[in-house]
Amino acid sequence: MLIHTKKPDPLLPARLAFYGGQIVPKKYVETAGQAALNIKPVGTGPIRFVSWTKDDKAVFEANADYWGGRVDFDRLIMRPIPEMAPRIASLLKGEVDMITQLPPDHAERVNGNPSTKVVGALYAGLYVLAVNSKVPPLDNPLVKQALSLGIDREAIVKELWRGRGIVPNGPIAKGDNHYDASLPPLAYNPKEARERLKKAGYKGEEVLIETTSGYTANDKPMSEAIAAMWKDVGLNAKVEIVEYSVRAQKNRDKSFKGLWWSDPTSTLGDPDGMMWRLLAPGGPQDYWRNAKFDELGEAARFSIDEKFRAQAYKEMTKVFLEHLPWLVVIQPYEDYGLQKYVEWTPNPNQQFEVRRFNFKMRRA
Amino acid sequence: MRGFLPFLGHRLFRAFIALWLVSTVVFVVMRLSGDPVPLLLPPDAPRSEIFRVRAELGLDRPLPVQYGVFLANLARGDFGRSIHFREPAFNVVRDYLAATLELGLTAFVLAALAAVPIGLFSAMRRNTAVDHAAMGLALIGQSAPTFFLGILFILLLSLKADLFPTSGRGDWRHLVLPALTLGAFTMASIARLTRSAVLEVLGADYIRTARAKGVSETWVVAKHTLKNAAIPIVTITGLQFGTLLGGAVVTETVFSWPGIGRLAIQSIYNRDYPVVQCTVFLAALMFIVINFCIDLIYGFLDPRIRSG
Amino acid sequence: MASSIPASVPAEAARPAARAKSRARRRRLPWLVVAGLGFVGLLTVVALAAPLIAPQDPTRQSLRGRLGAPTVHGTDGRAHLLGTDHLGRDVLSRVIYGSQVSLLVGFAAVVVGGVLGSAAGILAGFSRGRMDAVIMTLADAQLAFPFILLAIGIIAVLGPSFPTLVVVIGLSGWVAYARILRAQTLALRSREFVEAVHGLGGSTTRIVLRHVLPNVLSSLVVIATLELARAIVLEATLSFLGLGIQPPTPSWGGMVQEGREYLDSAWWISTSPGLVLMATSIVVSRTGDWLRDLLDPTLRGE
Repeated sequence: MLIHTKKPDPLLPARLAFYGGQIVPKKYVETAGQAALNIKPVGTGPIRFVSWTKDDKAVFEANADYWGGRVDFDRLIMRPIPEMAPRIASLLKGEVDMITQLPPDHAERVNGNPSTKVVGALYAGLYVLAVNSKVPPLDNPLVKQALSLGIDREAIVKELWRGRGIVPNGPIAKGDNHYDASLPPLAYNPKEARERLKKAGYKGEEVLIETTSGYTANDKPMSEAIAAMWKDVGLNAKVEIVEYSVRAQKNRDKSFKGLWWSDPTSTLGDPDGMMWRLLAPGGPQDYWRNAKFDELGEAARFSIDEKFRAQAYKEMTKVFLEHLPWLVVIQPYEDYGLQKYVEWTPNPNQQFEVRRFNFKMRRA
Repeated sequence: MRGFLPFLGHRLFRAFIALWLVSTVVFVVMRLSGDPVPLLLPPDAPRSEIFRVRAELGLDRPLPVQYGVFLANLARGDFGRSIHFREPAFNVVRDYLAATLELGLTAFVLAALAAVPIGLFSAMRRNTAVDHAAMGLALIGQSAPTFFLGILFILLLSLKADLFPTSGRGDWRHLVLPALTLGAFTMASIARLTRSAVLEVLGADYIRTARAKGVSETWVVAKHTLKNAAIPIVTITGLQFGTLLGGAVVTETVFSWPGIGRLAIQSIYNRDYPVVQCTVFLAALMFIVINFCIDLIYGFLDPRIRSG
Repeated sequence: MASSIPASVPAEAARPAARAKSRARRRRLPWLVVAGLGFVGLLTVVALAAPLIAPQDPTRQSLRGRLGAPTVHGTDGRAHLLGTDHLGRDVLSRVIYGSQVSLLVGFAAVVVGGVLGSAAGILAGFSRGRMDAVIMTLADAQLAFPFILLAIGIIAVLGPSFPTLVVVIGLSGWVAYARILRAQTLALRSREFVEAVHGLGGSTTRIVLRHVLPNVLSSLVVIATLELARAIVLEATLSFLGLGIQPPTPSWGGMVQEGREYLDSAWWISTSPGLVLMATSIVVSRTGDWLRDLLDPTLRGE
């Protein structure tokens, strides 16, 4: 199969292996339509769709004819349990084999239980406070630098996340292409923060974090912790809790009043899919523009020269760290709770790999 | 019976108007809460897609037109299609209603069955430790905030004592704590009511007469208590059932019970107008119908109301 | 209208006996009522003096000391008699400050509801016919409506803020006042002295102020007390659902919600504010009950 592209695309293989490359039956989609495909999907994978009862469960069964070999289970049942306490309880009671979204505060319980264990993968992305750089005082890079210097990331990682995370060093996640290990972790320096505020001429304008409660892991506690840290360096910091629907609205209307939580990730493990896709002109988080940043991002997107791309992203990181369209906070581990007889390694990009080489149920 | 029919007609009319008012308020408030379409589409969906979906849902027409359509449909019993679930709103509500009815009925049956003997017992053992303890608990049940009562039950009976599951719906064990929480107020009210009814009866003349005649005291007490307390107890239970949705909202949230209370809250956040409208309408209808029946019963039992 | 909850057998039967009893009680103020009123007073003092009484700043975080059990010597060297919450804040201080929110919103809502309801009741009583029917149907509609959903809907629209909260909670209770005022106004309307007052040049306002209100004052006090308990609980419930006072301002309902996740480990986070809330609700409503027995037993059938 030969694919012709209009411009060079360094990520074409990656795209085909992920969201852009799924194969579906042509006749089915043409006759039944997109909506039908969503409700009764047909693909080429190792499991076959059986049924879906809304708000209750989705059932899949093993595809015996899969070219990569049969999976190590007969049926896969997915049940949504949105509240954390019942979800953990169902694992501890043995009602389910595996749960997702295990908050760090409760990982101890799962590890302490004789029949369960915790496995985690470093999230292939970052938790950041995205900034509406059009609104004063956030239009001043010195203020944003002060905000960044005022966050005690180590304390957040150690206490709120119980060590399940790392302090990032820039806008590229560890594990992604062109991650620069030579950069130091983002600094915490309250004295320097106060200096920058003075230099910026900060006069006590309100700095607002609009956060959901529980939509992004630890969003509310982190918001409150960070607001308190900012108050300590002299900022007029406030937190406002908004419903997810309100956040979605603001996201679309680009009407955030200050800062909000975002967990950018590139499904392709590349800064093009993360930093550039979101912050590019016309992108979903287009609140700030910089000529050099834009020029480099555009060039790197269409170049297949990895050396050139590495250099471009290095430069873009420099611009980023000066202007801070995001306040990068943490790169957390995403933890899962498993019964001890499940042998499975999580994928940093949240793909659930169930094929035999990654998922086995150990029988006694 | 002459004044009864106009009385009935008058009440029916007021009920009808009330129902209409309720529906209109929901319509207005929901429309004010914002556009549900952005919640259905991915964040970077193009404007054209948003317009298309909005038109598909009939949300692009002027508000008075939408209201007219809403009322016309309501008269036919058509509550529209759920924006979130993409199926008739009534079907969605109906699916969740079973869970709430299960919870509500259990709560009230438990409440009535437990409370009457407790009230009776307390009155017979008036001013003893048992009486004080029972009435103390009743006081707590009547005044305590429902949500905290639920949390306390979870903490003490589920987490510490491991007697019941913490949440969700399943076998009978899952039903106990939520039913206790939902029925606490009713249970407490009925217990106190029964107690004072029994006390009234105990102090009355016909008891002395019965004692003198040698008739079994318990039987007299029971008979007269029933007569006195029946109406208030029926009223309370009826009212509580009528306001089931209000109480269920909190209880279902605390216990993650998949009923219409929780559905309503989620639908408000999802701006799923049809589901919210349907839920509120049905809840109000239930309340009004039950109240109406209670008024009817009152009318038959108490001749004074009939003529007024 | 038979749409309220009687607390005992029909008032009709109880009236003569109850009046006699209450006359007897009026002579000596029972200690229980005094205790109840005293509790409310104490709570008010605590709320007002919170900055002086609370051992620490309720918003002071200490990430290293989070989820700490009640102790006299915590990780930061201070005493935390009710432990610390998930951000290391002192629970006792937050409970004390939480009383400010509960009482402020509670009292304000009672005033709003009372003023609105009384005005509506007087209006209904005086105008008869159309206006009366309208107001009473509004009352019907409100009672039929699961009010908590309306509250959630309105707050979802307007956003949670102190004034919104006060108005919404106040609106939830106007009907009780309206009924009393309407009944009293109606009762007076049919008396000759209304015409007499008008004849002597007195205005309607005068009638309201000098004849309607004084008669209902005791009933209003009873209703207001019961409503205060209900308002405090409603505020806590809304805060528990995330629709009340916003962080980091401590509110009892909000604290119970924050602690829910840690019920099996750091149970003090939810239980402390919850128990205080429960005690407040019980004492205030009990006080209302006693006041009702004392001042106007006829309210029992209302």
